[in-house]
Amino acid sequence: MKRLNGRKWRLCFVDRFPLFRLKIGLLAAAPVNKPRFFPFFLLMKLRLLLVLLLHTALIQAQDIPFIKADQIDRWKQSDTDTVWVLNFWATWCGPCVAELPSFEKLNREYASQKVQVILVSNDFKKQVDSKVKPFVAKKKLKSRVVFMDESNPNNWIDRVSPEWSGAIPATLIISKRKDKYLFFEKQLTYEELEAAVKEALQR
Amino acid sequence: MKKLLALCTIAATLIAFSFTQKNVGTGYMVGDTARDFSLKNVDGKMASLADMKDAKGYIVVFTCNQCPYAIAYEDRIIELHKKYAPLGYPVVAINSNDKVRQPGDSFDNMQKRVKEKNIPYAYLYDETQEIAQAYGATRTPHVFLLDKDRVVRYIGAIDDNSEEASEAKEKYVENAIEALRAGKEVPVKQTKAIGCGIKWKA
Repeated sequence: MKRLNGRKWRLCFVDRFPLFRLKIGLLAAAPVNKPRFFPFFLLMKLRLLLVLLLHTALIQAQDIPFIKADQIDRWKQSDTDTVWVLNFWATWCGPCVAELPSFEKLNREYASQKVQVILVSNDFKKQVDSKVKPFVAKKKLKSRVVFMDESNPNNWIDRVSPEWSGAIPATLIISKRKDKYLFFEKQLTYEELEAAVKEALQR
Repeated sequence: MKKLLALCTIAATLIAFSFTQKNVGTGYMVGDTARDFSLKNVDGKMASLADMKDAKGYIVVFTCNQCPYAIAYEDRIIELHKKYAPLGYPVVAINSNDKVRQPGDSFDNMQKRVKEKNIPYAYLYDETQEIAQAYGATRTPHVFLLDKDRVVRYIGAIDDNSEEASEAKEKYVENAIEALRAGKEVPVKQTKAIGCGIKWKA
């Protein structure tokens, strides 16, 4: 029973990856029908290894696309009724990192609604591989992470919002009505963020 | 009497409103006259713009010790000072970050940074954050170029490439100073750049 519990726990652990749920489930179920002398421990070890491998492979799977300033306009003008939540951040920005859990929570809690969270990294370009990717993997960020590939911010800051001075963290929420934007140049709490998203979801 | 009371109420509201408007104000715009200040320099002495008797202008830079963007620009700020201080345009750097939220930006750490990097310009500590608020500085680095009458002539970034100094095409601050020196209109008066938000006191 103890072993079963252990197995269950690991099942929960990998359950966040529905694609692999079936595979792991079959593997996990297999020993139950096997004769007693079957070397369970070996299989368990193998399974653990597999889980770990899958796990690392999956969390590193989030590739970080490079975007240009035009993408901001496209989000602003998209005619879908999606609410876009664009958060401008960087790995070295303390307040940005501190508010990331709020955006991750929003991404989870509003998954069923038309809310898209995009974390726009403003790190240095030469640090995308060395800093941003490991950070995203380590923090297991599930929200979409993109990198703003523009060398001169003066060309695109106003396109995000004329209210924005360029300080990060900053967040732009593009509401369902595409002519209405909510902009914040500060660190947001989950409550502030959720209130803004609720407003943005209304027509 | 009633009319007078009503009038008074309206006047009071108007005054109150104008005050709140002022408080909300976003600091200086190009063309405004900037205030002087008296802030503690890393050498322990108080410094103000008025002390710089020969100055023809001032390159006021809100910066700090730790922000990667401020660090990326540090050498360029030193170069600006070396090039333009002899011509009458010294750099006056100001750190306004709250040391509670950002211990690395305390006065001691400013002194350390100055020693490490051999920083030649005045590096002042705006402990109350009054000056950053008055100027409307929001991030580091954030430049306010003043002429000798402290009229703001340029606000924004140092150049157009924070990551690679060698790839900067437009050197906004240098161009603005050259325009001032030539008695011409500053070509680009205001720019925006990504920077670390100033760490305001809680």
